[in-house]
This record gives sequence, structure tokens and C-alpha cells, in this order.
Amino acid sequence: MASEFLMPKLGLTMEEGTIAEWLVGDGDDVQAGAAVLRIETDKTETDVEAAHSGRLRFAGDVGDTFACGERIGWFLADGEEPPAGSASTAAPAASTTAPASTTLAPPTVAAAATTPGGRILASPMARRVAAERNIDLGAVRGTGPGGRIVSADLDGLTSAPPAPAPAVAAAGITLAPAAGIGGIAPPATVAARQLADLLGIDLRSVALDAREGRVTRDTVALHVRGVLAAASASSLAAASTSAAAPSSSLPPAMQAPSTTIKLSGMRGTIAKRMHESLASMAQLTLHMDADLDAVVADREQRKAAGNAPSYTDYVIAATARALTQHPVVNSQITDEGVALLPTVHVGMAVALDGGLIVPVISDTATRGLESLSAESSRLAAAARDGNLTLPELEGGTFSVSTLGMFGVDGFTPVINPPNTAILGVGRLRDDVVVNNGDISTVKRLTLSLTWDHRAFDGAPAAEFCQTIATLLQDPSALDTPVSS
Amino acid sequence: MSRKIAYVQAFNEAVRQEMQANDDVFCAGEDIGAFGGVFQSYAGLQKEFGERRVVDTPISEQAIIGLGVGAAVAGLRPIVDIMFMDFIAVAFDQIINQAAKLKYMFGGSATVPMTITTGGGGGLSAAAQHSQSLEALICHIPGLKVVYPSNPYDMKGLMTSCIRENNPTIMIKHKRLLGMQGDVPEEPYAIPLGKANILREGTDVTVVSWAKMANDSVDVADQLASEGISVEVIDPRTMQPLDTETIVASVKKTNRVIVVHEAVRFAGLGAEVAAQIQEEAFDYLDAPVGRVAAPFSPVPFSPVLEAHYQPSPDRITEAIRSVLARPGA
Repeated sequence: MASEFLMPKLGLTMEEGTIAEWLVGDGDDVQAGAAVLRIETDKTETDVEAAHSGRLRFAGDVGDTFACGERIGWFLADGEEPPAGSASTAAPAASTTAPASTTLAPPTVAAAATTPGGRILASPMARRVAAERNIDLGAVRGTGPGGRIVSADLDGLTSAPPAPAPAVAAAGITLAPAAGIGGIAPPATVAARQLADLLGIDLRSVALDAREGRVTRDTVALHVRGVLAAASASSLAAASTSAAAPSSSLPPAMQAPSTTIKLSGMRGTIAKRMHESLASMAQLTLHMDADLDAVVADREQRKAAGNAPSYTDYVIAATARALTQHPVVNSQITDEGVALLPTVHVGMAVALDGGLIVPVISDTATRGLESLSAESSRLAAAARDGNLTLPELEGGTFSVSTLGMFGVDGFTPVINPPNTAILGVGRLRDDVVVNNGDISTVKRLTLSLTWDHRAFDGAPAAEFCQTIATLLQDPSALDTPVSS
Repeated sequence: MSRKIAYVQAFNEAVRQEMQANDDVFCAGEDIGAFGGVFQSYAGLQKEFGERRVVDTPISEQAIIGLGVGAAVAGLRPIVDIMFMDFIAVAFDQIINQAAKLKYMFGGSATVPMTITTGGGGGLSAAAQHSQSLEALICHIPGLKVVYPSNPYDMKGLMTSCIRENNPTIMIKHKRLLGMQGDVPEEPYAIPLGKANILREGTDVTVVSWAKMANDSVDVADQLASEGISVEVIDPRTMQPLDTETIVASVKKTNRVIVVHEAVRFAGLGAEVAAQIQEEAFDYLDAPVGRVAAPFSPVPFSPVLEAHYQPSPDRITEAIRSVLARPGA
């Protein structure tokens, strides 16, 4: 049975680690507890022990950075291959820098006694205490009969190095949402009830173990670790642009949910980044209409020629050119100030089942409509097929998000950090225009610009939008590459 | 006012005081009247209350229990004596199928406020048919309450509760404790059924034991204290219903537990206690639950063999040491 090898969390504040060196070869047989990997955090370099025995297959190379809890390899049985669909789930490393913990446990000296099957001999009491304190029993020397670890062997020990991140099921358990409603206690094991009693935890706030269908000792422990991590995170400078508060501090669902979508993977990344965005910036949105009669006419012509860009492509092309004229919008806030970025890379939001992803059209302003349209089609297809590469997701300086196909005119898009602005594109519609008593219709759509007021003010934001609207009235200008 | 009396006198006093207090209470059994019972449990009662309330019966355990069940259903509060616990087997239909079941079968409209008293345990070289510890058999039957006191004080309080209880109870008198002296108040008092007693507090290991073995365990605990081993001894007193809560609370404190009983080990109450502990306190155990009990064999007649057969202080000590063992420490 293949087991995942996850980037360990070596301290409450460690967010990511970089592979510095594999101490064994890809495909080598390793024993649980053996040092197999050296990782770097921004504070320290440390060895990581194998969590299981088996054939170790790498899922990351030297220099790769992984968030804590992300898969960096597999432990496989003989002749076993990594499970299908196991391509790295690595997301771009977060740009926030969290200080790594400096309180690493001392190096382990002796391994615990194990059975031939690899089970560590430890009393139930010792197992509970180890789970509560996040101690790796594999690193503890047992003094009971046959080397059994007893609770006294854990006196004075605190958390040990290779402890997987709390959020990704330290004990390999799958969580189901907390089920408690009103005054009804959820189903729970005796051990879970006692542990919750001991720690003063309301069982109704604890997630169920999906496999067991009830609260277990492990889910209580996970809950407690989550609460501790949240407490620690919130005490770390409120001003820092650190992660959103973990969901474990939230009250339980007010009704028994019909289903609960886990805040993990893509959903988790979106939740974290969007909350971080709104929590850390001064965002506001303006709406401006743009007339698209000229674009519609231009598109009809190209359609006849068989290579029509989408309306969004026109807007992206106009936006890219507007960005070169309004460099303050193509910016990033740094410690030194508002950094104006010379090259324009526009990200385009692509909706996926259960989330969205923002691939980046590189050097957007230098592309003619045809090149831009070809690239946006390619990226959208790759996004839906899950074939985007990391470089295709990185480096965006501005984003465009479209909801027009759903009949939306204006909305308030949320900035994709570390950008300072994002443009929302509404539906193409017919508007009635009265001009000196003459009534006519015009093709129009609404632009919704959200920007970070820290970087620039309303007037430059409006001027930027006007430039886009003006450019959309002259599609031929959009076909001329702009050298930036 | 308190004074020292024997275990058997404490029993006798509880019966007498309840008979004085309640005219519905009466006794029946073999030789309990003029003779006062083979262990003198009922001494003097016939003289005080007369032959109608202290009845000598023929040698028929079925008849004795049957009489008690009928009288109880009719509204009296009988105390019926089975001389040796071994003989309850003769009356098992009356005990298991009638006494324990009537309230249930009649939907609560019939109650059986009957107390069965009997002598249990070995140590008198009374051989295999007069020395058994059969408490596990009767604890297995829903509808019965089973008490097994370890000292005179508990005997009087528990016997009083048995007589006052509105459901069938079985009071087991340990034959080797009949002469045990202890402080017992003169005035009537009741010890609630289903409540364990912590005979001795400790922090390192919990010993659960009852009747004579509870006293032996306290002696062992006193000895081990001189070595710095702190033993907590819990006497459940009532075997059914069992006070699991007190036992579990103790195990959570000490993380180690042994059960000591005179009955044979296989399917003895030690198995039930161990099972409840692993259900309720699994995560608090640092060692498997230890059991000290008799081997799977009838109780021997030979005094030497019987002494070997019964759990001894040495075996209790050894079991405590084994759950405390940390050879690698």
C-alpha cells in the first residue's frame, strides 16, 4: 500500500520547505526513521526521517519548494507504482515569508522497539500522550517490558521533528465535517470523549473521522492542534500578511450540513489567498461602460476569416496596452514602496469545477490579437485539462476575470496578490442611447476595476479604465504589438 | 455509637434491626431458627421474633427460594438463607427464572423485595462442594443485585440496604471473614448498593478486589508502601451493579491495574472488570490489566493444596510488580 511522504511541519509557523538534498537515491529501499532528506526552511537546514518503510520514490527535486503537508514522495511496496493521477499537487509557493520555528527537537538517539510488523511497542497511555504532545514515538526509547514505551518515557519530551502538518491529517485520517447540532453531542469514541473532557473541548466542534463516522481521539487531537496553531498564528503580528485564520477556530455548522466542501487543495488555496487579499489591501471597485460596436464589427470580419478572438481577448489586449500607459496600475507593493513593473503579464481567470485558476499570458502587451487569442485558448484548454505548468501560473502583474457569460454586468473582483488591481468584464449587451433626441442602440459591456487604494487613487484608476474603453473603440490598434 | 463487633454479628444486627423496624421482614432457611444457622448468622432471632418470622425449613433449596419469591410477590420482605453458596445451583430455576424475572414478566406490577443470604469462599478446607466463589454466575443474570462485603462495617450497611431494596438481592458472606472484628455503629445505617469503596489510596497501581481478597490486598499494599510503591485498593462491595466509574477514575490516575479474586480466573469477574477498563480507559493504560485468581480447577480439600490454589499475598505482590515493571528504566 503506497504511503505519501509529506513535507513535514517543523514548527507551528513553518509554512514551506525546500529540498536541499536527497540523502538516498530515487527508488531506494528505506527504513522508517532513517534520515532520507535534508530540507531548508528560511531559518534552518535539517534532516527529515522516513515516516514509513518501503521503496522511496521522489516527487520533488533539489531546489523545489513545497508547502508543509504537500507530497514530496511516495513509500511503495515492492513492484508498486505511485497511484495514478499522482502528479505533484504543488502550488506556487506562497510569497509570504513565515519564520520557521527555531525550537527543533534534539536529534533522536535510539529508535523505539518495534514488532516484526513494524508496530512500535507503546502502551495506550503513551500513545495518547504522544498524540497530544505531537511526539514521534519512533524516536522514544521504551523502558517497559520488551522495550514498550510507557507514559513516564515521555516525561519532559515535546514535539518531535517528522510530524506532518496538522491540516493534512497527521494520523492519515480523513476528516468529515463536525456533525454536532444544537445540544446533541456527535457520535464519539470513549477515548475521544475522555480526551475532550480532559482538555475542555466541546465535541460538537470537532470533525468526525470520515472512516469511522464518529469523533475519534485522533480528530480531537487534530482539532486541538488546529486551535493551537490558530492561536499561535493570530498572536504573530496582526499586521503581517500571513495566512487567513485556520477554519478550526470557526463555530460549527449551524445545521447538519448535507455535504461539506473541504478547504483543501485548490479550494484551500483560493480561500487562503482571497481572504489574505481582502484582509491585507485597501480594495475598492469602480464600474465603467465601454462601447464595443467597433470590436463587434472587427470580430465579425475575423470570424469570416476563421480566427475570431473572444471578446475577452479584445479586453485583455486593450488592458495590456492601457497598462503600459498607466504603469502605476502594473505594480506591486513592496517593503520599499509601490514598485512599478516594466513588463505586463496579464493573468486570465479560468473557472474550473470546484475552483478557478489564473494562467498568465506572458508579455501580453507585445502580442497582437492573433497571438494573444491563440495563447489564451491554449492556456484555457490546458487549465481545464489540468496540464498547466508552474511557469504558466507565475508572474502575473494584473488579472482579468469575466462573468459576462452568466449575464453579469458589474461586480467586485478580488485582487490576486501581489497585484494591485484586477479588471472584471461583464456581458455584451445592447444599450439604448439618446443623442440629441436621436435614439440608437450600441453594443456595450461594463468594466469593473478593483484596485488597491494604497497604490493609487480613484482618478488614475478611472483614467486607466477610460484608456481601455478608448482602445476598445479602435480594434486595429490592438493588433499592433507594443514594445515595452 | 461505634464499637467493635464481628462480621457475622454485623450481619445479625442488620437483620434484627430491620425486623424490628418492619413487620413485613421475615427469615427462612435451614437450621436458622433454634440453632441460629450453621454460621450463627441468625443467632437469637427466632427467640426474639418467634417461629412465624424466623422459619426453619426442610432441606430443599428450591422450596426455600420459591417460598421467598412467593412471599415477596405477596407483599412481604423475605430474607432466605442458602447455607453454602454452592447450593444456589440447586435453586437456580427459582433464582434465575423466577426471582430475577418476575418484575419484567409482569411489566413491573410484581416486585420481589427478597434477600438471599449465603456463605461463599474457601479457606476452611470444606472441599469442592462447599468452598466455591460463584459470584460471576449470578452477576450474569439481569434482575439480580449481588453484594459481597469485606468487613463488618460494610456488612451491616449493605445487608440493611439489601433488606430495604425492592428487587432481589444476593448477600454473600465470606466464610473466612465471619469472625473479622471491626468498628460498627449500633444505630441502623445503609450503604448504597452499587458504590465501590476505596479501601486504600495510592498512585502507582490500582488493585480491584473484594471480600477476603480485598483485605489481603490491603495487607500487600501496606507492605509495598515500605518500598515506595503506592497501591490503591478498590473494593467494589457490590458486584452487580458494578461501580465502574470509581474503578476507571482510579485507573486514569494510576495507569496500571490488577484484579484479584478467589474465583477461578476463566470467565471470572476479573475478565469483566478488565473488559470495562479497556473500554473506558484504554488510553490510560501503561500495562495490560493483570488478573490474580484461582486456577481452572475445583477447590481442593487438602489444606496445603487449597492454600496453593487460593491467591496468596505473594502472588498479589508479584502481579503488582509485573505491571509496574520497567526493566529498561
